[in-house]
Amino acid sequence: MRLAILGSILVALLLTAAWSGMAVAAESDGASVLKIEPRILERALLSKPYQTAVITGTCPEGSEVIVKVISPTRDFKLNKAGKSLGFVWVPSGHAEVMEIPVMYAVLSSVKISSILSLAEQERTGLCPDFRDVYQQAKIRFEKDPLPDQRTTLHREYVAGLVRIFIEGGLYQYREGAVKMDSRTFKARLVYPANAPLGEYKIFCYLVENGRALLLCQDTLLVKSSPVIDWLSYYAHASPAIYGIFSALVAVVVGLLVGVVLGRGTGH
Amino acid sequence: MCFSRYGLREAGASAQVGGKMNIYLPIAHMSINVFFLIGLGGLVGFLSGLFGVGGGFLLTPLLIFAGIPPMVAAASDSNQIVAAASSGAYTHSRMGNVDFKMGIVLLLGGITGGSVGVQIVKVLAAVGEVDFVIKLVYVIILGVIGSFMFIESLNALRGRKDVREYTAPSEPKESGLRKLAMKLPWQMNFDKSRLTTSVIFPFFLGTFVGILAAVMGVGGGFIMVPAMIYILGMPTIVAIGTDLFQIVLTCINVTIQQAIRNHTVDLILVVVLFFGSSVGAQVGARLGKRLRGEQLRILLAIIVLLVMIKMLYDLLVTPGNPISLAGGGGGH
Repeated sequence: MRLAILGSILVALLLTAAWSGMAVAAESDGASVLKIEPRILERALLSKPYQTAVITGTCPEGSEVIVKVISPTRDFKLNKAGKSLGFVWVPSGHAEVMEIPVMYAVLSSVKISSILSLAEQERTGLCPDFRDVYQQAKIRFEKDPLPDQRTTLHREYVAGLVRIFIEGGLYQYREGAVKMDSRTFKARLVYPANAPLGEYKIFCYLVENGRALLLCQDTLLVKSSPVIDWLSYYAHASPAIYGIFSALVAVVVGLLVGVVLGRGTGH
Repeated sequence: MCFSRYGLREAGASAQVGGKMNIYLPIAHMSINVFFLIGLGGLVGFLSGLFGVGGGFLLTPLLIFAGIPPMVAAASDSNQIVAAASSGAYTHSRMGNVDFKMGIVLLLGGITGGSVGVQIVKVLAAVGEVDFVIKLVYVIILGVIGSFMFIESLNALRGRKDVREYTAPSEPKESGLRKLAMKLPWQMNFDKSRLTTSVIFPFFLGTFVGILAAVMGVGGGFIMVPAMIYILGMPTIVAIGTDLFQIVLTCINVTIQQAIRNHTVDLILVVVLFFGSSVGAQVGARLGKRLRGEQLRILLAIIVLLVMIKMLYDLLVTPGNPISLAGGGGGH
């Protein structure tokens, strides 16, 4: 009797496991698995001006794909230029824009406006003017502006910062950068060397009937090399030691080069 | 986090040009082409060797033009000057060309001025005005020095007046300031310089140059040496040796203070620049021997004035983007 019960339980467990396995396999078939190569980018002391990460995944045949990459956020102190004495441009206003992503990339297989309405672009943060970050970014003014000027100034500061990011290749809107091949897609993310460290979020959207559906998401880690880490750490955590070290390095290197090149009469 | 125009353009264009070698500057928080940076150091070193000047007053503005945040440019330039001047100071001290007594008085002033200057930079950075002030000070100082040099060299070329060579013997005329310095209290005898003067004047001279070293990232030799020769009446070779001695120690103080107060010394930037400037200086010095003194001075004056005009233009022309990163950076 006991043996029959144990046997039944064992058979039941085996059947459950087999059924679960089949279910998981079926789920994998339907959903996209994202592959990021390399998964960790290292910022070395010497490097190319940019690095690339290749993002690949699967999608239903004939569909369009949009990839969105968002970096960790940072705070930025900003100046606003204004004319003084009628001819000199001086900093006339100061504010701190907080919690703004330093890198924001939107890569798509086709022109986004042809497959998504503006409302849908706004909902998913896929607008060409990156208006998503305008709502996300907080601002602290050095001198509180009048209530009716607050919104305009907020927009002005964030727009200026976004423009700096765009010029730096940090905010990218690259239509046609996602290559489709039957049931797979491939996007090449260009990562400028000035982009911040940390964990980047990657979202892949599938566009169906004018709707952007989140197909899958993953993360990409950007870290710096030990030399950069060491210098950055000591410059901020032990600035006195870093300062003395910098001065010592300068003296030693200066004397050595002086000996090697036979200098020594001036600077 | 800084996003310089140069660095940004590099990043943006990188997809097409790939293969370029960039170096990451951990304190400036930016990536810049390493050969461009070596070339910049080489250019300033070349001019330094050609004209026999320090070059700090050219290097900081050029670094700013290249997109390095002004605070980092000035602080790192001070550190670079330590490297550039140390071998010269060592050689002059071995040759007995340093008046250590005078050097220590100047150095006390330099340390005071350097510490005050770093504090000024810190306060200006806190209120977001540091970039503007550094550029403005450069426009004024370069404008005055460049104009003076240009007029003097032009007159020399036209043969209107006798030009005293930089290495002229030390028998300058007694200036009004020199007479005043001799009447002030705390007179001290400086044997090496063969003069007796009040310590007040060299102390304040050191203080002024120390402030300039902190704000502009210069050694200050272009003010200190003429002042020591023409106002204090020191022999030229002793003035140069003593100047190098105080420059090294004043800039060491400024480097350490900037590192502690403002975290703006970028050691990687310093080493790369120094590598370029050491080679450039050798080439410049060899070429300089083939040119006449007044030709060199007028060339230098034109370069100084061009840099000043570019800085002035940046202050006067409507900026493309009215929003800029405070202190050249701001991400934290």
